[in-house]
Amino acid sequence: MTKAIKYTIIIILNAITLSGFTNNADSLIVDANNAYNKGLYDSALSTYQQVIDQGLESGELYYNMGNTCYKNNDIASAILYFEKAKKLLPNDESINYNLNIANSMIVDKIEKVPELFYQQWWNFFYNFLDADSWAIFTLISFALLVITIGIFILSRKRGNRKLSFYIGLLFLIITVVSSSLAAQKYYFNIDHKEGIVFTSSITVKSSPTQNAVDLFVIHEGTKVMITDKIDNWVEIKIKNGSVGWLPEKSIKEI
Amino acid sequence: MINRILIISLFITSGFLGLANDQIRFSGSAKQVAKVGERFRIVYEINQDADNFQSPNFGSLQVLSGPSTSTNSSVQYVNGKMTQSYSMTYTYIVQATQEGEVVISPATATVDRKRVQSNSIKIQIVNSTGNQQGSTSENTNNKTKDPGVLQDDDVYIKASISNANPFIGEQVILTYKLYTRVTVSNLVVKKLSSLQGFWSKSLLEENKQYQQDTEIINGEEYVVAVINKFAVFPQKTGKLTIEPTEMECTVQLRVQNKRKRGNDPFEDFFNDPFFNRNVKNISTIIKSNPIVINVKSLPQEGKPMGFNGAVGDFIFSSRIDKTKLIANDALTLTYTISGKGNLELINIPDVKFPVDFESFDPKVTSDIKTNSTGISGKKKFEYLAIPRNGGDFEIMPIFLSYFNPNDNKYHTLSSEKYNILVEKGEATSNGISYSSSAQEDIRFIGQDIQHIKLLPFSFREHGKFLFLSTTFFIFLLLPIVIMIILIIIIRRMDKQKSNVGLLKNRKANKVAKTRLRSAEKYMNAGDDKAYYDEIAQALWGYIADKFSLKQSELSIETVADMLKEKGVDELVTDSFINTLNNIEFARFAPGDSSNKMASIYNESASAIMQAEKALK
Repeated sequence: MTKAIKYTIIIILNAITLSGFTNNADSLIVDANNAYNKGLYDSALSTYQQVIDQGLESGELYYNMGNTCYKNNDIASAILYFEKAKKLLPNDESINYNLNIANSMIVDKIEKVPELFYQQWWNFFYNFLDADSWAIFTLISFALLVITIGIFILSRKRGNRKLSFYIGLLFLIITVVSSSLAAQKYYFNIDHKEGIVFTSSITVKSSPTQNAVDLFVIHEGTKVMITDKIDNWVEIKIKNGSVGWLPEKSIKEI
Repeated sequence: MINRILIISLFITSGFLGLANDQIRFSGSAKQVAKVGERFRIVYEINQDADNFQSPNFGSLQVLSGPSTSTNSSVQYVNGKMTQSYSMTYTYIVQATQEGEVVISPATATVDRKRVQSNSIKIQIVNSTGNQQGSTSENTNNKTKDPGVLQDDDVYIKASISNANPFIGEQVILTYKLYTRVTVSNLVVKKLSSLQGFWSKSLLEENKQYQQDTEIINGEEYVVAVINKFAVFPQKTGKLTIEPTEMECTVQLRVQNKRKRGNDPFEDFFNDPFFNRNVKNISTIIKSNPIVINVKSLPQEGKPMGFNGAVGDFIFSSRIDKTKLIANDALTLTYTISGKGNLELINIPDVKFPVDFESFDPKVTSDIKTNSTGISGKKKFEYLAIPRNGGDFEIMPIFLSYFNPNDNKYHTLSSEKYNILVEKGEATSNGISYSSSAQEDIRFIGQDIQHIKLLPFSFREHGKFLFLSTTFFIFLLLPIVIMIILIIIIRRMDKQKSNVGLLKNRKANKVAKTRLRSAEKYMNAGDDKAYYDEIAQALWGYIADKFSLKQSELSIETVADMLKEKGVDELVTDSFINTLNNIEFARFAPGDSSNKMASIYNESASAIMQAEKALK
């Protein structure tokens, strides 16, 4: 339901702002898809990139670019693009499937630290929709909240007022939760808190200097969380919770 | 006395004259071909006693030592006949410095106050690495050979290949031959050529006696033996170098006693090899020449799909032991590749058995013959497959592509296609039941990423998010604004509505009284239908006006509820409702109308009055 609404809103917004771009982009994508089908992965990738260069992005586009890189045996880039696609379309089955396959081809196998139940719940909702959808969801629930407040104010009957009060309370909670999810997604998107290792093998240091103690080695294609940046170094955290420093140029932000 | 002197002098002079009468031979000799950096000798020999020897111009050659002079004279009496020989040698040791031809001008010497000239000598100086022929052609003048020293060309290994320009994967024969003209023993391989970039197979049986042969090279007789032979298959393109093989061997040399070398005429006699049994064993390391092979890549043109590097000339065949069988019986499918080429490196593509067939990795047997012409033979791939379910199946042919360097073309051979009829086996035949009706999990044959997505895409501008954007705030404020406006409108409407109600409320009594009056008129006129309508209207209208109700909402119950809600006395309410009931009753009950009408009129008037009092 919300998806339908989201798409209609996006389509309306597209129609208003992007209609000029997308015609051109659509033809580029048809070309690129044809090149992909013929196995001309390099030219497909550069054609997809032209669409990106126009300032447009889409989960489907990143997904196709990821596929192209995968077919070109560039697993790290493939993972980067699949992750980018996942940011925009967090619940797309094809993206998750292909990302899993790509992840199964990298060197590092990192055991994830098990999450607590409330983290699981939060992440379930967090990954349920993308940033814009959560924003739309927030707007809708806020509008409904306003409506119930209005009903509360206007209704004379005690029963109606009581009912609208509880419904209003429910919408208030939904609004608060969805807006904080939207905010989290939003900052997650604009802050680039994750990265993919692009060096075939690199040693993670204990501090942001070259002569610091070597902590562990990670390999190309591994996803890391970026927790801090100093000069040309980034502090990273991998899925099992280990923390260390890497030169900034060895990773690419998602 | 004088006679004696004369005779003696005659004898001596005649002796000298005899010598002098011989032709003067003055010759220079050296090897014709020398490598840059090589040291060699140039020897000038003159068969007369000479003095005032003048060195020639050596050109670019560097004189390391010399001239060292030695003389040889011998007198031989054979059957009373005396032959004398005399020779004088001037030896230079020189080193070649530059590539090219060097012409050494004639040397001169004075014999009997006459200047004599030797011949001029031409020496070809070659680059030490470039010319592989050098080692065979440098032995032109072995007269100068010092018997006690091992010469470079006495024993050497020559490596040769059958084709210096092969395709990648093409079979090339690499042969190592030992050339020797001295006695060689204890041949031990010290370092084998590292055949990097090649796949190789030795073509000689191990521990086999070397076959010896003789060959004449530059007029010298050499004993030649093939010491190693390989079939090599280059595995990468470009210039590949086969490093030299090193061997250690013991060379037996006859040694002359140098110490006594001098003018003693008997020296040569005893130095004759016949008497000289001094044999010196010299251990030496001999190296073969390095070989550079330029490996060509296979042509891209016409390269078939599934080509996996087979180069040579092959025949491909397949055989199946049965095409009709019962489920769970095994069948054997054999593919055979035979021919000449890099057989051991060839693999056939995987056979695609129907999925219901259980198949096993093939048993690969190769029967490869090596002989001096290279590798040839057969490679067999034996597949065992067991159909688990009945049905008609097809085993598709597989293709073997190879490149034939002889005609520079790719060839593709195909195996046969087999149709196999599998009959349903009896489930209980051997205690194991493979029921064909049993459900099976779907078997995944391969794994790949899912296909790309097609249009339409949900495009968006990069980095632009709805959250916290202007649009977001607009949509956030919009419902609030709309709601406020709505509330204001509804409030105002409510107010107006309540004003209307208040007015009606105030006028309710008046309206009811007017209605009652007009009802009275109808009563007097005797129009009972109009009378009842008017009086019912008066009562109902009063309630509707009083409580701002619509006509449709009016009923006995609502009237009772409304009055009760307003805290009207129960007696008043009851009388009001009784009046309403009476009116309804009287309306449809014909009979003594005038009496009833009057009583109802009074009843109604008092009910309205009472209600008006209670509601004030």
